[in-house]
Amino acid sequence: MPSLPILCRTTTHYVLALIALACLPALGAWWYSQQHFEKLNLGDYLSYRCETGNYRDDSVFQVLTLTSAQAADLANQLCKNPLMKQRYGAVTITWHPRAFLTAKHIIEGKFHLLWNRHHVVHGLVPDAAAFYQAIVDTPRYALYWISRESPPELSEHYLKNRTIGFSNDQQSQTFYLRPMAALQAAGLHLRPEQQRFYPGVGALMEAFASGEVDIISGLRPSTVENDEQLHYTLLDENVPSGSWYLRRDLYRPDFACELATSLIKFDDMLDGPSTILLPGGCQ
Amino acid sequence: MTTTLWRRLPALLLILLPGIACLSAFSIWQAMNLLASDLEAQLRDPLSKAITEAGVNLPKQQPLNAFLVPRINSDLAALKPQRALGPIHSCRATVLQLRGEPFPTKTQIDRHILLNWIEGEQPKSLTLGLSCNIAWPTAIGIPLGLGTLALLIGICLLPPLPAGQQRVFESLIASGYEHSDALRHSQQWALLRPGQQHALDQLLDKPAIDPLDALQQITAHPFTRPGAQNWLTTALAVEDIDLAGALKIANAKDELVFYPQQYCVQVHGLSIPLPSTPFLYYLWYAQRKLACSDDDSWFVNPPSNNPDRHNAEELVALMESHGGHPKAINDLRDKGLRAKTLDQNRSKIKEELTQLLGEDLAAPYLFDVERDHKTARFKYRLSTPAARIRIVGDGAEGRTI
Repeated sequence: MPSLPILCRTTTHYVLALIALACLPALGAWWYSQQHFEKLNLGDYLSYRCETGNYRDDSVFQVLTLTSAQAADLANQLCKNPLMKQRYGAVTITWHPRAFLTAKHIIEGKFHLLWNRHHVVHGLVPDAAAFYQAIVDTPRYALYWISRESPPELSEHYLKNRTIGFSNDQQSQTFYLRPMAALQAAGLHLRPEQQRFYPGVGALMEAFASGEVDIISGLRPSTVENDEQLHYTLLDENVPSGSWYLRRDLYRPDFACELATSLIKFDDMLDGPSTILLPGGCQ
Repeated sequence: MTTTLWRRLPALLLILLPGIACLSAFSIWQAMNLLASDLEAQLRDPLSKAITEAGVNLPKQQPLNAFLVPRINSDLAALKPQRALGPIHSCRATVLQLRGEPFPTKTQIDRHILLNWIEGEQPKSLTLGLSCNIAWPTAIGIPLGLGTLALLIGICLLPPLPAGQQRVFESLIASGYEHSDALRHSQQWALLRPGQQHALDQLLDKPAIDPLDALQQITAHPFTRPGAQNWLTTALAVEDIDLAGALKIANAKDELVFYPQQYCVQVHGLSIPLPSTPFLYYLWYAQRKLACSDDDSWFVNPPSNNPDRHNAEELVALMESHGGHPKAINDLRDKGLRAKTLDQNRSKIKEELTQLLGEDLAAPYLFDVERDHKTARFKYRLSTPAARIRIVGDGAEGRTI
């Protein structure tokens, strides 16, 4: 143990010692400030859950839909339903692209209720009716070509220097299947640079609004601003929007009817009324 | 030691307190920057992906924002740093803007985090406001602790001593003094005059001399006279002269004092006994110096064939009055004062003084020599000025001419 105070042998030693001492709290403060957050776990932004008020039953009624539009309202509507409350503690509604649905989901009955295109469900599982019962046909709608410049025409001359926007979801009737089929039927073959593909409906609409593409397919009125200045040409006047499917093992006329009644309250998402498919309708 | 340490405390506190404030502010600022960067890195891909996926099949995203913002705020409401020991206790992030739609908040925002991504070909953005709770006890405590530790160590560190003081300190330690006592005593070195410091340096070379004794005694001696260092060296070399005596000699008057009763001269305070006959010849030259003017004090050596009878009588009288050796007295009576006798006695005097003092110190107390123009013989006189010659115990005691 050296006697105190410690005498430095040289000025260099003393200066170095003072620098080291000055660095001690500075380095300590630097080390001390090196904070990082614990690994973050974000919640699920593709679903909404509500409680029915039945706290004895922890089973959850699982709904699969295609969009978040009015999803929470639909779930809340179901949660308020007395029959739902009798059987389930909560309702969870989940929304995914059409391609999310798999044959395994259908066969294993992962969802109690799901909304999708008829062709998608039966394309995945030809005897889907053995697993799911269609209880409501959602409204059919008219599909249009939409342009900002002039009424769209399905002609080579019109499309010569124009670009068309599509969804890159190849199961989308509105934004891929129907417009592509119409072009094919008209014998029109677009050059690759005339076709632009977007990851979602929102991106497609923004691309059209910003002028990135000249023509898109869509409903009338569209969600694009200044819709009254757009030009529409009918593409298909009777496009089915899809059906609500109830898992067959849950099918009870009264329960199916309650569900169907709740579902048709959201017809304003599309033009026209939904059709209840229950035998004899709902009383 | 305590005095030494605490005397420096106020100055060090003046550095410490603002330093701690700066370090605390720095650590908080740095931690917030790191946490904001970390949050941005953790959220950049997963959050933008989740937001994009949530908008599937939606033609307009605005309604979804109102659904997403509370979800995101809820997920980011309690952000805990990994390490509890840090200036930030916890944070929360709130959405301020999503895809161009503002979401005002009244929460104080410490850092803004901007996330950009592309949906389709459209740029999208999300702005988060990060608000953090500062852990004040540790935010101040850690820098304070580290600063105090550095201060305490700093108090215990002394800059190197001046070389002379360091030597005194080391000598005291080598002589067995306590570290703190050695440091305290060594501080007296700075109060010494340069001559005293130089003399002390000499004394520390002598193992037999206690360094503290040397330090204390040397303060009583000014060491302002020219050549004092050389006289100290000479005095220290003489046996039977202790430290006090050596210091006294070194600082003594530059004078030549004769003690006829002891046949002894005192040169610059240093006593040098001489044989009686050389002493009395030395005294005779001194008396000539005192009796005559400087130019008249020369004594020309008698010619070899004609001894000086008159001055021989003067010398005989001097020797008889001071108990000179009978042989020397008889020799003078019989043969007179001869050049050879004078040369022999001057040589003896020179030998005795030079042996003890060395040629340089002895020279001012020996003899000047010149060739006499009239006789072509050598003439001699005492080099020492009359004013610095004293004869004690004689009729001329204390006389300075």
